[in-house]
Amino acid sequence: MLSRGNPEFDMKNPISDIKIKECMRSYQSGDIAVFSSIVRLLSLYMYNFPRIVFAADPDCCSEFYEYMLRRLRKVLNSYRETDAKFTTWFTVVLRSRYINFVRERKSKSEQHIDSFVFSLDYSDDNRQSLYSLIAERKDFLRSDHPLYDELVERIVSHLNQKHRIFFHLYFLDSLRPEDVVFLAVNLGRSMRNVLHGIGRLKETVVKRYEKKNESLGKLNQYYRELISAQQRDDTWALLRIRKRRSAVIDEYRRIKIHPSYEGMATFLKIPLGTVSTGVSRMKGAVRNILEELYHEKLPL
Amino acid sequence: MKSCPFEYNWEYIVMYHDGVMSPDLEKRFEEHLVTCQTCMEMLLNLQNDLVAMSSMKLHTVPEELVAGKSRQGERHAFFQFVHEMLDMVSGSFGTGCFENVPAPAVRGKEKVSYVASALGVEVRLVYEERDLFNIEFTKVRGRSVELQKDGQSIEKRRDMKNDSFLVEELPKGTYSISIDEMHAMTFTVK
Repeated sequence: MLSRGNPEFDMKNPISDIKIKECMRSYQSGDIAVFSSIVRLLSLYMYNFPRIVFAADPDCCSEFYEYMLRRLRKVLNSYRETDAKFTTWFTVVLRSRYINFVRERKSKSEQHIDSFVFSLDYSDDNRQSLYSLIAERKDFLRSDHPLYDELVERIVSHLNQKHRIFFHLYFLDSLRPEDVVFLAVNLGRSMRNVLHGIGRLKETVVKRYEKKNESLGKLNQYYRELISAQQRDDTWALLRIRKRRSAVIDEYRRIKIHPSYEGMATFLKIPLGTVSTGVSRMKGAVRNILEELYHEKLPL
Repeated sequence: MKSCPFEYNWEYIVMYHDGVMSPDLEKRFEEHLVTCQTCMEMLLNLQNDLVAMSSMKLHTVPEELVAGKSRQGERHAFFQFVHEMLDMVSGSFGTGCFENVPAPAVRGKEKVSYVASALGVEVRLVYEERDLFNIEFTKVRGRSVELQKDGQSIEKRRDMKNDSFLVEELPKGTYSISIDEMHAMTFTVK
């Protein structure tokens, strides 16, 4: 059992599994007074989920929090205790509920602005680098956008096996379900082992994720302000917001999220030098592919 | 759409992620993941979400939400009672009353906290401002209803001519309701 017998994969758990499961047992056996304790245990996690996972703004977090509270009893009633952590189960629930919440909000208001989609005309950027093209484009287009999928697919289908492994580990955020399968098959590991390894790599760059997330939140906010200024036909406000947004975009672009070579070496169980050479060659190969595909030279 | 033998059931994803499947099931699920992109995507999302949630700093829930105020400054009856738990101190609630866990109900803008029924009478506890709440009795035509607070009778109606009546601005405390001189329910609003 991974979570019990393989502590190397254990992540820091924001909700105490023992406590919440005790409360859940009491609650499901009819002790309704424990409900308020459960709310207290889950509050932080519920409130922060949209911000951390979907770069939602505080208003959206508050709305989602209330939305979840109204449904919490029903949600908790569907819980069946297993050896899996409560937090793992609850995280799946939150993602699913958040997607429903966004859909409901959208259908209620025609003018609703999607909380995690901000408009930035990516093609206007004339300082494209390999990093901005692959890693950041995901944030601009969202990972499930066909254009992004097409770009990643075109690159990886032209890479050899070794380069592709480095590509997936280096551009962690571009990872698709089929890439996990590719890594598992080619590294001779289980999917879970690959996923946990990727989790470990991500943990090493968490501070940069946080910064990047903050910038994304600000960009969302500026986008809303821009729309509002446009509706008011307020030229001065438009100029002011554009200037601020431009500064945030610069800040955003400065934060590059790549796992350390040490982390990659540990995960792949190969020497550091091999990782360094491998990544460098992979970048060269990707640049060649992009030049061939788009007839454009890109800085590494 | 290609069907999934595991019916895209997230319970499997959770169990696989945490490594708590039986070896046989785990082997089958692992094989399944190679071909089922939806399950694999759920697993990948879960892993990403867990890493993000476990490593990033959590912000404090705003005070007004904890205190039960909505973003518009209105107090949610439901949330108020979640935090100031409606504590039922007597077991004799009559048939179907509260059904163990009172269900919150929200009808449009109207905020209803708990709806209960006992001895054929429907009782709604509605939170109001300033830590006060209302009790609305319905289906009471021809019935006698008595409301007691901390053992003292505060409202007594006999042979009701109307179908409903409202007792407003009640403070926190322990309340008992009798219908036709039979004890129907006791509850405490803390």
